[in-house]
Amino acid sequence: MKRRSLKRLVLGGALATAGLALSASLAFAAHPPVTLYTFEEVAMQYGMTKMPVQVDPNTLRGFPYSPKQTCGECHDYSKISDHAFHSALGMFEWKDTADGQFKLDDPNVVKPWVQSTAMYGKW
Amino acid sequence: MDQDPATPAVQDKYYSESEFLGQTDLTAWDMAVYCGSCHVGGGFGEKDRNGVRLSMKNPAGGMDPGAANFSPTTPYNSYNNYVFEKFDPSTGMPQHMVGQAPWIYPVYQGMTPMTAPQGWGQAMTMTMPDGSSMPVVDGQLMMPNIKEMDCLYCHFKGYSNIMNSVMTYSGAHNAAPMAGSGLMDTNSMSPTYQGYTVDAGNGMTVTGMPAMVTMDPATGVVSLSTYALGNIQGNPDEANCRQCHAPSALKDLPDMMRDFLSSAPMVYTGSFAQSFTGLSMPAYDFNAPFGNTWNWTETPLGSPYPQGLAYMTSGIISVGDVMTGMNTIGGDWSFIPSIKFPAAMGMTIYNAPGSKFPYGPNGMPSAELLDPYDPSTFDWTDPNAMLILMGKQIGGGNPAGTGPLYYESPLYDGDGNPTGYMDQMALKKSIVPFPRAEWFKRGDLFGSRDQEVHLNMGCAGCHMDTNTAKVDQYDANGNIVFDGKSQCDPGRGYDAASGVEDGTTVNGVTFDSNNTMKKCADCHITGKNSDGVAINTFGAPDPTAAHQAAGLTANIVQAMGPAGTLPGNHLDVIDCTVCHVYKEQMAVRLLDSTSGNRYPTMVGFDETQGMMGMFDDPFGMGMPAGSNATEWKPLYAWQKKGMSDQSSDPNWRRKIMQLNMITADIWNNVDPAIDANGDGQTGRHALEYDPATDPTFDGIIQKSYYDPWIQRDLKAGMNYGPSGFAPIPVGFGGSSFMSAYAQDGSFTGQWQYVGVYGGNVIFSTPEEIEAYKTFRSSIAPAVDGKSWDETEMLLVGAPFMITHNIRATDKFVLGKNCSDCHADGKEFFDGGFNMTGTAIKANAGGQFMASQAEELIIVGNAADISTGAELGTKDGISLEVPFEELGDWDPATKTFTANPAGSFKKVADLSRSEALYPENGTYTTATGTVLADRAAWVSYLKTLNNAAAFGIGIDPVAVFSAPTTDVTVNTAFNFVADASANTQGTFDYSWLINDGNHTTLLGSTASYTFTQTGSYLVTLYVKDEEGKLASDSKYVKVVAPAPDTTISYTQVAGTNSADVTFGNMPVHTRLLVYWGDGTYEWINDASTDVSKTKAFRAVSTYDKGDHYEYLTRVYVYNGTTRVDYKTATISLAK
Repeated sequence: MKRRSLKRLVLGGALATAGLALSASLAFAAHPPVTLYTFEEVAMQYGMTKMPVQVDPNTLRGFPYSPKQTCGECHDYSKISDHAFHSALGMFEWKDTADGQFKLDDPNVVKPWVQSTAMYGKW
Repeated sequence: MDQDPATPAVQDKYYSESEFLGQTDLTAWDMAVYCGSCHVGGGFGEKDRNGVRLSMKNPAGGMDPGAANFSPTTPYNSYNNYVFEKFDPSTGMPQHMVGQAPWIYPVYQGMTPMTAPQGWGQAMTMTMPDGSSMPVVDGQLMMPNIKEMDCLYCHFKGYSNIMNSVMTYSGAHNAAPMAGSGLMDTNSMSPTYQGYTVDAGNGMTVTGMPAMVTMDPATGVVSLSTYALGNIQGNPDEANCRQCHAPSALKDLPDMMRDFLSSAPMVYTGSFAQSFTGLSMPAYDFNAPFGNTWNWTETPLGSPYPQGLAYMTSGIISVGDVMTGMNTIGGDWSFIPSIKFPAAMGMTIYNAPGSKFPYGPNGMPSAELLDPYDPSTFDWTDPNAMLILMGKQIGGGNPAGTGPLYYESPLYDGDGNPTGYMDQMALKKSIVPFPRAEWFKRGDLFGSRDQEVHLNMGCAGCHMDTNTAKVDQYDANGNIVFDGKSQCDPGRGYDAASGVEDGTTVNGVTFDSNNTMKKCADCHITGKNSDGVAINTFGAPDPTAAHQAAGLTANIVQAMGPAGTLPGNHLDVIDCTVCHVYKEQMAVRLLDSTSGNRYPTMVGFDETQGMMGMFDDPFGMGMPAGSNATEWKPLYAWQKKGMSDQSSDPNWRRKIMQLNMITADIWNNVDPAIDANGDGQTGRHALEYDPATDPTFDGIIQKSYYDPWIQRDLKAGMNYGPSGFAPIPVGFGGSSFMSAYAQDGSFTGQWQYVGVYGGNVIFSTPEEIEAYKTFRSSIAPAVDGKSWDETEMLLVGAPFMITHNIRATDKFVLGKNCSDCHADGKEFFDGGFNMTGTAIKANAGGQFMASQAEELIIVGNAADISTGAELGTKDGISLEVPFEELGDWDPATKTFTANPAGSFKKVADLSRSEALYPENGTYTTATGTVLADRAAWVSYLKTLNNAAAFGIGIDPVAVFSAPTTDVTVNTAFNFVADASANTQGTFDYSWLINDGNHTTLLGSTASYTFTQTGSYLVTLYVKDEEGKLASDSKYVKVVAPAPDTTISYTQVAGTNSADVTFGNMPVHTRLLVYWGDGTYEWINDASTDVSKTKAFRAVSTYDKGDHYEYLTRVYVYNGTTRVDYKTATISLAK
């Protein structure tokens, strides 16, 4: 609850600051501020748990941002990624055997490439 | 994939190189690169089945949890490795190798390795597929390169799937989200190329584009800009859905990039300096297909250069657009803001300075012949020469017929001179741009309200906020137990022909996100979703009255219920879309997968214009969108499962849907001694049911078995050439079928057909098919050693349900008249459904761009072709219906003549009657008549076009006669309706007895027993097939039985007395009884029944031997009026 309250304060502050410069529709549609974070593997190699994206002021280049680290700051990235149809695409619906072989003895295996009820393995 | 979460001890399976090459088709890396070009990431693009991120598995990172199963002889698995497709540039023969998936790679600053305090780099050398090396030093920063779920793909207004796919195809998965969302500067001419699009202080980048991020000047930390935050949307913007699913039109060539493709075209350059796959965007010039076009750089230059439209191919790309692009900050003069691309990009072999390329060996014209700005004649004295040259370097001014996409990769000899041949490696690895999915499958286009009446609601209208109850459910431990509609999922439809997440249980989890959107009836009739939960219906009008008026609610058909058929109406058996969808737009019909790529054939476009007929407004003449579209009739067939409709019974209201069939055209091995794709399954012929044991199916039902050849090995057999739209197969071998194209681009006549979409050759004659099989067997030693002698061309029809393109009813609707479907020639119950689409006849000397399209005819030896369309019966049985006919073939004229005894087979239209009613057994009408077979049944159905014959429009009549006399209480009475008043239609009779219990009786004749006297209202109801009601009411008087005095007695044992009862007497006041023994008496008793014990006189007068006999008489008086009289003989034993 504390976290949510803080977010509201931040959002409110941002709107108060920027509101005059924004159109009404844009102001109402605004998402809370988002700092970009790079991939967790990069952070780990720098001894950090999370690492914001920093860019060179001249080239404007920086490490790529990670959707998981950035959006996952507030959203349950893993739960969404594992189960939303557009992203999971059948990852947990794989129906092969434990050793990775196809179920060859099944006489109903007529389309051997279809191992999932989602989109990986289909088109 | 080699892991199963149910058996966590089993880790990655490792293979030797030969095993890996022989068994692997798509690895995790391939899925991320190729499937990931349209999909949003996550899943197998991010981690393995044990949840380990792929970037942490790579041995280069030293963190491979599965490495325990690694062995030096079996070093490869399908997560860490992939098959790098490699072909001999000259011969095209395969030289595939196993590559290491770059899920993680070393980071350099310039030429200097970048290290990190705990960098994962270990000293080694990574080798790229082209043989170049990428050294890794200890402690070097290793950059993850996995495809995480890209949230902004859906939730960021203005996201570009094309830019995402460019990065994805390049293998730069970590940069794809940045490129797609515009967080990265992708303009190669920008000074901040590949940097973040940082706010320069005015909300714009230094190049004048909207800034997506702001930078803290003190730390360099970046955050999304106000502009970017404003573009984040919870419910995706319609354009975000569309960019993968559905275009609005295909207006012209720039529109391909803007509004038609879901992934980018890519050309293989062989350069791994900027790409892990060697792929990059090809050069393009949207003007190139159309005549002798201007070099657009000249338009703003003024005299002496010609004035006029810079881009006559598009009304959107105007001179003003060009000028706007040129005037953007930072010299971004090649950029066309309105389409986010330059109209031309990349130096091509035709306008490159110093180009010496004379011919395209497989059909493309030479630069020198057609390019008015040939480099050999370039005027360097021109004061604008440098600008013109720059224009050439970014494309433009290419000769007609050469583009708009440039896949050319000419082979050069050792002196740098072109050999006249194309680099087969480059062409076979290049990417055919993929159209948006729903157009591909169902022909969906939504460009105007004429095409889709719900256009204003957008995708979200039906797919978001559906209030479905089928959402993810977790147990107390947080483990998912039901995987339904998840957070971020839009509501999914329910393609009843599909098996996608249809309730399958895997490892204890049920996956079912089907039917979680709003269906037609949910908004228009019930106001509730399939779970019975109220939804926002947007005020959808209720069509019931219109349906009633059309007789569609009349219960005159055999609907499907839990236990078979039951009386129902047309709405019970016909999905809404069948009558309300009208398809007048281009759709795919056949997907030619015989060459290792997929090339569609199409219907629904102006075939007379050939390839140009695909575009609504190719020449910028201002034609309205859809002007080149033509109607095609969907296929009507029974869905395999019901739509549930708030019922848990999957069979409830299983309906006829309309489908688009897409015919997959594949090479399928049927040799039981050969395993074509290395999956352990050898080839098998299709199983055909024997009529002797399955008489119901009459041999029509078959089950195909699949042993398809690996796609990359299919490429091995074909010669590839460039076309203006895709790298295409142009022939095979070196002789009779080497190329459909001559060097000047005209047709050689070697092939019968090429595709409209790209000019690809299509196997369509016995000679082509047989020659290719022979050729394939001959090159088997160079490919995989497997014979093609028993490989067949398998054409499998896959059904895709059509649910979009609802037309306004004043423009189109079926069902207002029975004869819309129930008549000859309506292509509902009869006629054929084309299964091959259209193609361009490759007549010798003809030109691809200038040829008309026509129906594609495919003929082969009977043993070389199998067909089967996946359908279902009305009873819900899945099956395959062949679409073929036998006949004779004249190779000289290339004509087919039907002959049941012929040895050749033609891919025929799918019979619509067979598709609807595959079983050829008996059929029973709603009225119980048994018809002999399908033909009789369909003929019967086509006669049912007289609505009045079914009583539709005719009101029922309720008439019954009241009893002419009173009804006696406790006596059964028959009520009889006059059924002769109702002769047309079907009628239900019911009777309501107003007896205090609301007793209802059914049937035209009904029996009832009143148990109390009184007056009762009896009402007859007659309801007809339309639900219309008529009634007739009458009062019935129920009375006691008429008085009729009875005399009964019982002898008092051992005496000459008897208990005598006078019963059932009318109303009275006293009785006069003559006992018959000479005595009489008055009895004053008004009771209905009166009993009296009488001692009879035992005298000889009444003695009858063994007993006495007395004639007793009773006179019943009411006051002084005698109301009854009765006599009885009383016999008393002695």
